[in-house]
Amino acid sequence: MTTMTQTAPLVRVDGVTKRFGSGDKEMVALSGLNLEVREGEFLSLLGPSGCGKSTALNIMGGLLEATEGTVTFSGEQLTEPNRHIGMMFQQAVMFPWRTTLENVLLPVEIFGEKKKDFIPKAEELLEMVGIKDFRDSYPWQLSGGMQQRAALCRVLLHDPKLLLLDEPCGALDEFTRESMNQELLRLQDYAKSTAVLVTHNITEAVFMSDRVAVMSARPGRLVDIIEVPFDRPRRPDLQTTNDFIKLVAKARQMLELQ
Amino acid sequence: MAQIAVDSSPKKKNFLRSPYMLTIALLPIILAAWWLATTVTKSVPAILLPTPESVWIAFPRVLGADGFGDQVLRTLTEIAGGFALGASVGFFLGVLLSSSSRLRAAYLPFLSALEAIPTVILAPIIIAWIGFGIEGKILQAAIACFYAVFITTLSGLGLAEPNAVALMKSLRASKWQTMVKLRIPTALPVIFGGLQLGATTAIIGAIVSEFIGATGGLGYLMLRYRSSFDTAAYWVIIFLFLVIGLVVYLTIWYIEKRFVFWRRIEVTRPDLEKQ
Repeated sequence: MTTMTQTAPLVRVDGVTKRFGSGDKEMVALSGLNLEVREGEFLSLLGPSGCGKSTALNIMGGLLEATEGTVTFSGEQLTEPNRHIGMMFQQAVMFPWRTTLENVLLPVEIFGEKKKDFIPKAEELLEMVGIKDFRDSYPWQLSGGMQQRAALCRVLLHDPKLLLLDEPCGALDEFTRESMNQELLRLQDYAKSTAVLVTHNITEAVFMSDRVAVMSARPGRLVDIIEVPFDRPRRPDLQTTNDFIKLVAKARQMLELQ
Repeated sequence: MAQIAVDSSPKKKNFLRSPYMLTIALLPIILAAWWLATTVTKSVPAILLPTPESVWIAFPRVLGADGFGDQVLRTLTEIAGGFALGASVGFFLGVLLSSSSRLRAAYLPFLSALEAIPTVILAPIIIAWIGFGIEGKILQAAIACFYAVFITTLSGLGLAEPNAVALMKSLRASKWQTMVKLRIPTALPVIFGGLQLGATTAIIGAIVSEFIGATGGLGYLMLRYRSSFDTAAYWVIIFLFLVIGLVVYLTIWYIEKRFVFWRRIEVTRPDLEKQ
């Protein structure tokens, strides 16, 4: 029994198809997606805009219902959002009427728990991402990168088993994006959670992931999965090595071949 | 990653450049025109427009009249009571209708059509139903102001960003939690616009209904001064309404600034809004 749960994937996406609208206006966003996410891994969904990767992520998070097929999380069929799944979006989604700390503690309120019990952990997370001094500042007093760091603290506060990241660095500039990605990797490792990242940035996908699932444009389907063998922790200079560049080229080729 | 300055008005606080100066500058111009038209050229008869001097003299007479304080208090009570009632009902209905597209489809056209009925023609009906007392005036003011708060609440509650709604959903927030923690705060700036508008219409509602028939209040006083052709005293009360309107506006504006402190600054930072 124990060995079974260890080898079973954390998430299993089984023949998931998603159609929006009906009749003439029907749009197939996702077509027969099969995918397994292994416990503890960092997996990227890489593809052009409109390939349904965000749709796939939202289905994995229980925000959207699949038209066909099923998603299994921790061995159980997933039909609605789950406490053990945390989501991050392209925008930080900080409420401007709440301070950084209050924003980080939002899930505590929603779950009906005592805020006091979570303040030390929230502060520890804020310290880890380097914005502890801004705990009482409002989001509009922070830069975009700092807001996204705060959002990361919010999602990690309850130790999610699965992190679903919908281009969380997409709205950030190149430099901020890189340091934010480092932060993501560090904290994913610290929280020992599994992560699925949606991105259209090939380098980012290869750099962050253990496996990259390459997807094709509409209707979205899985092209292939690239294994990324590099050791962790990964340093930015990895990106200049030959092996890395070769993998990026391979992914690019897959995207162009479709 | 420096902290962005919170102060949205880096300009020096110079009273001469403040917008109030524009208002104050307008006063002597209006007074001069008024004085020229009535006192100097006498081109407008005093029965139509009293001279500035006569209004000035009428002030202590009107304000010092027997029971004047009670009349003011009565009208203020009507306005405050009507506003509190109408705004509460408007807010509640806005929240209710925003939570169900079925309710919206069923009642929104009906409620909007009701708004087209002028306050003036409702007044005799209300008087017939519940009499000349203060309750009818409160009801009238409430009816007058309810719609502005209702419609702004309804549209404001729909303004939450899809990503924010998705975040709440991913946290398994209940409909009620999403309403209280996301939708209502997001809607506050718009709702305050409705409250401003509603407060004004509550004042109008109260006065109009006093005009149609009442046993007291400032509108009732105006009617009495009009029937005795005391135009100057009539104008004194018009000025009083101006003061009431100004105080109400500033009060709501002040409360709004306390509650929606996060908004103005965001508006002045379009670069942050883009993200």
